[in-house]
This record gives sequence, C-alpha cells and structure tokens, in this order.
Amino acid sequence: MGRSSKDKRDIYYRLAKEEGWRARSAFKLLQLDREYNLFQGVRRAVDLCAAPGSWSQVLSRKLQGDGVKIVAVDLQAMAPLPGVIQIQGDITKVSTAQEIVRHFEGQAADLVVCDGAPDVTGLHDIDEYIQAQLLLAALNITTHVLKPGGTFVAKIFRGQDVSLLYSQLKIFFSEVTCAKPRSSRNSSIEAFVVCCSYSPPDGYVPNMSNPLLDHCYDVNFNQLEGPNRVIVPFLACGDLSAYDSDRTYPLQLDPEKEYSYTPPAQPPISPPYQDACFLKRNNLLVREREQTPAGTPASSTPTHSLGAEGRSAAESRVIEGVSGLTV
Amino acid sequence: MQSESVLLLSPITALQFVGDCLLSGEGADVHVYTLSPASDSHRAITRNVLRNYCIHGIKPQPGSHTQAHGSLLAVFGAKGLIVLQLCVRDEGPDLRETGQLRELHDWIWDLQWLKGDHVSNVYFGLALGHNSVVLYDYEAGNALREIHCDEKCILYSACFVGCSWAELVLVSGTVFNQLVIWRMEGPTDPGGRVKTAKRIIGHNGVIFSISYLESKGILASASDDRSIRVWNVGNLLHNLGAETSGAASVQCLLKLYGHQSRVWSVKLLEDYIISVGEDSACIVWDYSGEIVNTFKGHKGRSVRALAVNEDQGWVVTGGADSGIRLWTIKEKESEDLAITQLNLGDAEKPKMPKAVKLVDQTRLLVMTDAGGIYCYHLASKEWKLLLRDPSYQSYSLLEVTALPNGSGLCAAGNIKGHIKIFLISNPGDAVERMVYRGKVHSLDWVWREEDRPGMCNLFSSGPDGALFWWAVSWEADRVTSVVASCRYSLPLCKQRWHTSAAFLPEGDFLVCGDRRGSVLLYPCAERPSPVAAGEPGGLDPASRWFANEEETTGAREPASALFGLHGKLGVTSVLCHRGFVYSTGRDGCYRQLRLEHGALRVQRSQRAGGGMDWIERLLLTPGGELVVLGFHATRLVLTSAGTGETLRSIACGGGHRSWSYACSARGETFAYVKSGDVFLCQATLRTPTCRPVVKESLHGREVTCVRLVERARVSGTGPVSVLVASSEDTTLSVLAFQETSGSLSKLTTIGDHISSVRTVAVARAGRGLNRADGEGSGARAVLFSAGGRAELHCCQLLIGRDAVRAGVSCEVAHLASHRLGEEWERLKNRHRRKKTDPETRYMSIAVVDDGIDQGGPPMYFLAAACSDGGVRLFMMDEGQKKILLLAESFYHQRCVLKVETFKHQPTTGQSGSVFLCSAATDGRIVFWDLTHTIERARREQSICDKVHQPWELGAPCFALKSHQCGINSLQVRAVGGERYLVASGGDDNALHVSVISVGTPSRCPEPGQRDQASVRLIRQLRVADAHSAHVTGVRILSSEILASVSVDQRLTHWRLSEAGVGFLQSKHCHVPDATDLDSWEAEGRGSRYFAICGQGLQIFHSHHIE
Repeated sequence: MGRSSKDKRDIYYRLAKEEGWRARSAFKLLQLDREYNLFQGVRRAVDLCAAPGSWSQVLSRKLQGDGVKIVAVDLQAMAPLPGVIQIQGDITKVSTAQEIVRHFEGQAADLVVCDGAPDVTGLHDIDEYIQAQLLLAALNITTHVLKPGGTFVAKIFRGQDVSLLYSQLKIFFSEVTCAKPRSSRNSSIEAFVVCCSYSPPDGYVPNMSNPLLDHCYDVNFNQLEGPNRVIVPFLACGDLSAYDSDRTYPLQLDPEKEYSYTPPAQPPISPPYQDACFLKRNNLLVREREQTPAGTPASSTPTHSLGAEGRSAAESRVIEGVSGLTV
Repeated sequence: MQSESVLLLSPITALQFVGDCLLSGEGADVHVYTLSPASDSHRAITRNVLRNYCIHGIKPQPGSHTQAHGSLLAVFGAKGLIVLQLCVRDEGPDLRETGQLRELHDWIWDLQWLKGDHVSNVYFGLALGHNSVVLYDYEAGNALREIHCDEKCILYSACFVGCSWAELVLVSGTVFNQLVIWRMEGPTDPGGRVKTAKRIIGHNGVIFSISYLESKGILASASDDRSIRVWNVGNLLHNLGAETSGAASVQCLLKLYGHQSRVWSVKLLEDYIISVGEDSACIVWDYSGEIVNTFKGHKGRSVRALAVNEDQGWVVTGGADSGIRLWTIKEKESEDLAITQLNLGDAEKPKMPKAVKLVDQTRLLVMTDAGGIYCYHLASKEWKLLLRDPSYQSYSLLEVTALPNGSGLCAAGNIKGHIKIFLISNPGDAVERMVYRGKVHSLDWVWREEDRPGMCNLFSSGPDGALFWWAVSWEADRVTSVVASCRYSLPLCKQRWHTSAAFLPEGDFLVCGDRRGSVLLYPCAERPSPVAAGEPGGLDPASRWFANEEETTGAREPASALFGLHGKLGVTSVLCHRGFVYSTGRDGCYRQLRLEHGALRVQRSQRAGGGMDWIERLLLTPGGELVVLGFHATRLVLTSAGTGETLRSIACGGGHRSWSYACSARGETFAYVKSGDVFLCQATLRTPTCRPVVKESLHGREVTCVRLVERARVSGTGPVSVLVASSEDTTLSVLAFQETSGSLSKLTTIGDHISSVRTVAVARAGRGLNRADGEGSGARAVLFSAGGRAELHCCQLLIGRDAVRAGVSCEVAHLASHRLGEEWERLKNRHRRKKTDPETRYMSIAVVDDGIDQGGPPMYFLAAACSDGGVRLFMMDEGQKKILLLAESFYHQRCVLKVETFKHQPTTGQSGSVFLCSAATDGRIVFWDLTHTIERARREQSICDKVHQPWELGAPCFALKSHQCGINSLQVRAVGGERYLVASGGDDNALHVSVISVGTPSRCPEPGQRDQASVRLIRQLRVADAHSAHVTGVRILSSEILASVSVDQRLTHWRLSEAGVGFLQSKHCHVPDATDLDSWEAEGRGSRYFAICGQGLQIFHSHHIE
C-alpha cells in the first residue's frame, strides 16, 4: 500500500487535495449550503474551531462582495487565508466574543459555523460528551455574536444522548434539523445540526460565566428507553450524482487524464504527537533493556550486550546445512 | 414483553482491587473476580449498577473494610454514581446496593470519600467536567456546594488529594494541555471562583490521567502527546496554601516517552511507575526513567484500565478487547531467563563452532569447523571431546536424539556422502558408511511408537532426491545395526532434499516436508526385520551397516503430495497431533492437514501472532496447547497458537545460524551460534501463582457482524447457541453462548483474512447440516466471510460435542478463497483488461438459497455488496473447492451496502424464483431475479474449469427508494401468499417497511426473451425518526413484530399493523457503534435472543413477544 491507497479509498480526500482544500470537510459545508442556502445574504460569518481552515476557505470563496467579513477563531495557530480575519483564542471567553463583534464593527453575525471535533479517545461516551460540550460552548459564544434570525451550523456526534442536545438547541432556534452531507461517510457518527432563525427565549441574557450544560434525562418519564425522545428532522444533503464518499474509485477517474499524486494542501501544524513521532523515527523511545549474557564464572570475561545491533564479520558467515534448508 | 441483558462484553473501563477481589467496570456492569489460584471460577458476580452509564471509576471507602460488613464502594461513570457494599464470605463475594443511583448535572471525572461530621453520612467530593467540585450528600441526593475554579474549561481528567473538604485539593487535566491545581478552600476571585494555586505547563496534548504519590510529593500525568511526565509538586496538602500561583516552582522530574501511541492511564507506586496506552502495552518504569517490564497481551489497540496490588506485586490491565490480564512486576535481573556466553576459543575449549545441538536440557553438542564434536555439560560447565574426524570439517551435518537410558544417539553427515552414527556415551565405537556419492543434504531422527525398545529411525537425504530410511538399533553402549528400511524418491526440483519427517500413528504412513515447500505422504515399508543375520560382535564399523541392494534400488514415490505448500523457502517441520498433521514453513504459516482417503488435505492455514515470518516448529505444552517457535527478523520468538501472544523473544541474530531448542516440564533451553561463539539461554518455567488471563478477550477491534451458526442442545449444560463474529482485527471467532448460565466462551479463531472482515454469511442448507437434532452427531455449517481488499473466504464448521469445553467444540476446515485481483493476475492478456481495484471492500454478503440439492458435492451461490459499486454473484463448488465470480452488475454506480436474498415458491406448483435485493448509499433497494443466472450456472458444469468472464447480472426487476441516504440494514421475509416484508434501516435514522408481492413469470415468454418474475409494491410504511442515529440492524421477527438497533444504543421493538409501524419497547444497550443485529428463537413461546455487536457484544433475552 503506497501513499495513493488513501486516494483510492477516499474520493473526497483526494478531491480536496486536487481542488486545493485544506481538508475534505470543505465539501460538507458546500453540500450543506446547496441544501439550505446557508450563504444567501450573508455578509458577516464566523468560523469557530476553524483549524486547519477548510470551512474558512469555503466561506471566503463563497461569500463575495463588499462588506463581507469572515472571522475564524481557533485556539491553535492556523496558516493564513486571504480574506479571513483570524483570532487565536478560546471560544469560552467573553473577550473572544467581544473581539469578533469588534471586527464586525459592533454588528452581529449572520452565520456562525463550527466544524470542531475533539481528538476522539475511542471511548464513545467520553467522545460524545466532549463533542457535546464543544458544541454547547460554540452555541454559548454564538448567542453573543449571532443576530436574531441568524443561522448556526455545527458538527454533532449522533450517539446515545444526542436527543439531549437537540432539546437544548431547540430552545434557541425555531428550526433545527440534523443534516448529513453526502461527503460525510455513511457509517460515521458525524452529522451536522443546521439551526435556523435564531430566536433566544424572552429575557435571555448571553452569559459566559457558566458553561451551558446539556440536559439530563427525566428519569420519571423514562425518556431513555421510551418513545418520547426529542427528535429533529433528518436531511441528507448533496446531489446524488456527486461522488459517493463510501465508494472506492479507481485512481484513473477520467480516461483522458492520467492520475498523479497530490500532496495535502495544508499539513497539520504542531500536532500533539510531534515530539513522540520524532523520537520514534529516530529510535529514541525508551525501550526495555535487553537481557545480557552473564559471563561464565570459569573465565569471568566481561560480558557484552546481546542487544547491540552491530555484527562482526564472523557472524555474517552463513553456516551451511542448518536444518538442511540453506542452499 | 420483557427484555433483559444476559451477556455483555465491552471495553474494560475501570479496575480496582478490594482486598483479594478484583472489581471491573464493563459497561454499566460491575464484575467481581477472585484471584486466588484455588478458585475455579474467576467471575464470581456481575451486576448492572449504573443503568445507561458506563463505569469509569470504582473507589472503596478508605478504612471501611470490616469482616462483618465488608467494604463500601463508590461506583461512578459519566453523570451517574452509586454506593455498593462488597462482602466476601466463605461461599464467595456478595455485592449489594446500599443506596440509589444518583445523577449529576455534569460529567464526574473523579470522586473522593470525605470525612463528614456524622459517621453515618456519606459525603463525596465530585470533580465535574467543567472544572468544578461538588460537595455531595449521597444519602440525600443533594449537592451541598459547588465550587468553580477560575480556570473554566473542559477537563479530560481530574485527581483529588485530601480526605476532608477542608483540605481537599483537585488536580485537573485541562483541554488546554495543562495541569491546574486548586484547593476548595483557597482564595477566590471577585466572581467567587477559586484561584488556581499551581499551573503546570509542558504537555503538548490533553491530559488523560493523573496520579499523585503523597510520600514522594510527586505528580504524574499521561497525555495525548504520548508521554508521561512526573512533576515535583511537593506535598499538595501542606504546601499548597502557602504558595502563590507560581508556574516556575514545578519542576519536571521525568519525561517518559516509551509508548508507541497515546497514554491512557498512569499510576505512581513507591518503586515504579505503571502506564497503559493505545499501543495495547502496559509499561513498568523505574524512577530513573528506564523500562523495567513491558507487558503486551491485549489484542488490538487500547488498554484503558489499570489497577495495582502492591502487596502481591500484581498489575491488572483491562483492554478495549474486553479482556483482563494479570501481570507480575518483576525486575529483569531477578527474572528467570539467563543468557550465558560460552566463550569458545578460550584455552581447552572448542574453536569455531559450526553447529549446535541440544541433546536435552543438560547437554549440548557442538560441532566445529575442524570436524570435532564436543559435548558440553550445562550443569558442570565441562567440555568433552567426543570425536574428531577431518573428513567432517568445513561441511558437516549433526543431528542428535536423547535416548531413554540417558545417552544420546548421534548422526553426522559430510560432503562426501558419509554418515556416521554413534552413541554419546561411547563415541569411539561409531558406525559409518558412505551412503551417497555426494553431499549428505539432511539428516533427521524420528521416533515411532510401535518400534521395539532400542530402535530409532534415521532419515537421510542425498543427491538426486534419494531419501533413505534407516532403522538404527543399539544395545547398552553400542550401535548394533543400521538397516535400510526403505528408499524414497523426492519430487524433482532444484533443492531436492527432505527437511523433516514424522510417522502417522494410524495407517502406516510417513509424512515428509521438503526444501521445496512440499508436504509428501509415503507409504511405510514393511517393518524392517530385526537383524538376526547381523553379527553383533563385529568390530568393523562398516560391518554393522546393512544396505540391502534390493531395497535401495526401488525408490518409492509419494502416495500423495502437496507440492510447494509452504512456498519456495521450504517446510521446516511436520508433526502428528490428535489425528492431524501440522506442518510449518518459512512462508510464516503453519498448516493443519488431514489424511483423507489416502491423501493429505489442507484443513487450515494459519499465521502466528507477532508477524513471525519464519516458523520452525510447533511445540506442545503439557496442557496440550500449541506453541509456535519461529524467527522474526533477528529474534527467536515463541508465541501461543491459541492467543497469538508472545511468550518469549530472544535477540539471537536470526534463524540462519545454527540453533537448537529443548524444553521439558522443568524449563527451556535455547542454544545458538553468534559471532563465532555459542550462547545459551536458560529459563525455568514459572509456577503460576494465579491465572494470568482473568478474562478472555473478544476482538481487538470493532466487531462488524454477528450470526447464529447453530443452536445445539447439550445434555447437562442446556442449550448452547454457537455464534460467529467477524471483526476489523482481521479475524473471525466462533463463540459458544450457554443460554442457561449466560456465559460465553471462544471455540476457535479463524484468521484467514489479511484485511478487516466486514461480513459473514452462514449456509444453512448444506448437506449434513442437521439442525433439528443437535443431540446426535455433530452439525455442519458452511461459513463465508468477506471484507477489505476484496477478499472472500469459505470454510466448513463442524460443531461437535465436547464434554470439557463449553459443551460443544468446533472444527474448522478451509474450503476455498477468492480475491478479485487474483483473477486478473492469472489472465494471459491482462494488459488489455481493466484490473478490478483491489481496494474494493465487500460490505455485505448473503448466501442464495435456491433450495436445489442435486446430489453430489453441493454448490453454493453467494451475493456480495461491493464498495466499487458492484453487485457480484459468486459460485462456490465444494467438490472443486473453488470460488468463481459468476456474474456482476454495476447498476448502482454507488457503494452497495447490503445484499439479501430470498426464494419465491409459487403455490401453484410452478418452479420457483430466486431473488436478490441490493441496497446502496443512495437509499434505494433494487431487486434482481437470479433464477436464470443460477440455472445457467448449474447447466454449464465445466464453468469452473476454464477462465470465466463474469456474466452481466442483467437489468433489475424492481427498485424501491426507501431512505434518503445509505441503507445500513436490510431483511426480507415471506409473510404468506405471494407477499414479502422488506425491512430496512438507514443512515437517515429511519426504519422502512414495505410489503411487496412477487408475480409469477408469464408462462409463455416471447421467443428470445427471458421471462422475469415481477415484483410489485403493495404498501410502504416508514418511521422517519425511529432512532436518533443510523439504524444498523433490523430483524423481522414475525409478520407483525420487528426489532431494530442503532448507533444511538437502543434496541427497539416495533409492531406492524394496519395503522402503521408502532413503537413497542426500547432497551438501552451498552455496545457503542452497534454494527449488526441477529436474533434467534429460544425455548418457550415468544422467547428470543438478540445479539448486538459493535465495540463489544451484548446478548438480550426477550420474553412474551406476541
């Protein structure tokens, strides 16, 4: 398996590289827009948890015209993008919300998007919880910057308690749908909430001093195992004639055009595993000590390490006739 | 209707020692294991305590342990919390709930028992998800106080220090890669939040685990950046208050990089640091930062849970593979493996060793380049020259076998064709003969049970594939005769000599492995007559060697040959064990063979764990387990064939040099030549004080598919359901679920796939598959499995009775395999043909039941849903053991996710039709009439013999749009008349049910036209929001009841009526990422079992399904 094998398995990964997107998730926002016309009339947009920046890329390509402002927020550094104002900050801080509004010259945003996801741990309940907290933090800052009637789009994990999140979102938005772009893999738990017509409850004052929390099941109503879950409509987005993210395509998509490998548009900036990978590559990770031979008491010659990789000339001599298998 | 969980295998998320008991958190269940070697049953009790929450921590109340009342335990996970009482009595442990399940408003990362004002009250400190701490009155179910830290963010871990509210300190691991230390009673900011007392910055990733050791005043953190760091924080209870918030005061003592991936958990002990990680390793570090031990035994990726019993020196680890392992912390120096360098070349020692052979555990023979043979006594460390013969210098072979009388029988061969045979006890009296006119290529001692005492068999290979069988007899201290028993001819090839031989216990056959990789079966000659004619007193060495001209001229050919079975690098050993022949080879495989009608047949082909690329031998442990001995790069590796676990690994330089291995009940010895010297590794076998496997693992990665194979009635244990599960870890497992006890045991693992296995199908219509009467003879099933890299395998399962293990046994025989790329590779004009992409994944397969049994070896038809947009139909001819790609269609033009087949038999006595349904990512279900394709395949008998260009599957006869996007589950079931129910679950959270009717094809089709059956839609029902995530399993239980399972972790029952599809009941299940559902009937009316797989496996039992 070479470097092209991921190109074969994942068509959108390949297309993203070929079209210059920083990540394949760019197609997800494009397909969501096709269904919901998210960008119509939008002049001020916020991209939360923006790194590596593919959604900001989509916003900057799709939102054209005078007075369009795009603000991208992330804790991590992100390679600059033309037409996108970057804030390296924490979305749980009021100061970040204030900075966004300052860039919009005191006006509220028309659209807030968030494609942020934690590095998954593999333990489903923890991953779903952390993702939910991320979404709620995004929702909280959104209540500070979004204009009434505005739109909020965010990634969710459809897990065992996703209906608790829906009920929280429905307090703030009159229309909440769960959307799955066709570029998102069929079997992945990822989906997107598209929340339209921002209308906070009467008297709601945006507040970041305490985190928004997701709801708890009402034990008495047995929502956990009963039918009365909070449900939002589901919509699959994207053209059916578009590429299928689950399908394996041959490398040569177009008979006219020879396949050639394209490197990723934007490799990750300082991932957590950077140091560890450097050590691993250079064989510097701590390893278990190899058992060393003890010198025979009779001769008491100093022992030498068996783990040493160096080989003497005598050692490289192949002894003939071992098990009758050598030539 | 009632449903209850009867079995759950899920990732182990919490472990805790309480006295002699080990408690584990598996989903919402607490299991109690007793770890004394005496107890027969490990798992004492299981109890679901946290309902839908997964257990992440178990904390006993400090000092609460009393003989009378046992221990109080707080069990918590996610937002739930409960207190249990554990009592250990003579009859076993007992677990009781002492209060209610309490639910918090946020995630609980850590819990601390607090000393309250009243002894009877239970107060907890609870560290919550957003860096706040709650003082919680458990009995009242009240949060008395909630304190927030000024660092407000999401946490990934937290660790309490202190046992009263006044002194309580929290160390929190934040989403910003920092450790934040704050005291509940610390100074607050104007907003009422407690100020951070210490902030530790250094990690490059989030913190997954924190451990504090009060005696040393140190803190350890495990991180996403794959490191463990140890910090010198001082005593957090006493020193914290005095200091101001200073980051500079915390010094990093150790930065430990040793895990290959993320580190999930860390624990500080007085002498060691223990960590577990995503690389499935448990590492024991010392405080100098060196690795003392690495424990690897869990399958797949993650080891999550960790507990230590310092008194016993025990570490237990719990994996995502749902297994629990027990390890002993032990310094390497005191370990039982000793390596000795013999320092050859010193005075009075042999020089230039060429070959080493262990006679047994006490003696080693060394042959030198100068033709000397020495014996080394391992105990006395003394060398003795046995003999020296210059004609054996520079090229020589040496083979030895231990004799019952303590001596050893030795054979040496040289380049001129001489073979010398002698006893170690009397090397001067050697028997020698020139057997070949050229090099002796190989020698081999083989014992045979029926031989009289004082006799052994030597096999020798010389030039031109001449293999001789010599019967060697000895008496007391001398070899009395060497008689030629038979001469065999090896198959023609360049390197034409044997490498190993073994006698079959029955039928007088000899099995040989050769250098070309072939396994050969030879008939044995008549028993060689005892050498009455031989003059035992002859002093001339040659006079005792009898070579009968007649027997040496007529060379026998093999009765059966598996040419090149182990590839060009050769067979390394053959072994007969329990009615099977096992062969090993340098192709990295070991194979199980069976003698059938006078010929050898490959039953199974297996690879050893740990990527062994060169297998030398299979060893039998006293317990009857198989151990694989081989080489991996420059190391000798011993792995267990059953678990694939590495038992020993020695850096010997590789197997190309001379080596020898001997083992007995006392220990094992390995000798090898390296750097012109001889090395000895000696290990004593440990007597285990407790069982190292506390709980058997299931699969290392996600379970993708589960199917019932057979439900057998076993006298004594009650009904046993035999299931097969496939996994992304590239293996399949056959499992026995005992319905009465609710226990599950693994019967066997099938590891034929090189990529992940996504789907399995069981042929239920095979001959000999006697499903009705499980009590009699064993049952037979044909199992198909498919997955990544367009791989398809088929094997036969024989389910039999086994009184010892689980009541049933399962014997696996490989039948056939297929890979898409393979056909293209075989084509002569392949450059002109498009290669089928080998990255194609098989998403789902289904066996076509056409109900035709024509006698003779059965044919099976198999439909596959393919990721390249294809629907493919395969034919498996059991007689020829071949899978053929019969027909295909790319109609869908999208990834096909599911296939399902059904047979329509009209009531009017006409011939039936066979249908295939395929469902793709566009939410459409397409129906195909396979009748003609299958009839045509059955007519064209010779289709398997030639290169077959796959037929076109033709046009589908009906299509149904049932979902917005991908269809993840599909089932079709006849409901009487001409009607069928088609149920599907989609990625759009919906459940779709349609009723279709199948029309009989017109009796007189137009000339030249094929008559296709017609499919008509009668009714379409839909539950748009059946689940809140994708529906991955659906089963039609009757014409009125359906069951579905989803990633939202609910198993839901539905009722189908005139009014539509109605909700009946829903059960929370503890298998995340559910991938599949199967269901089968149990004893009693309306009683059923449901198996859900995903990240684990759960079985539910439902009663009174109307």
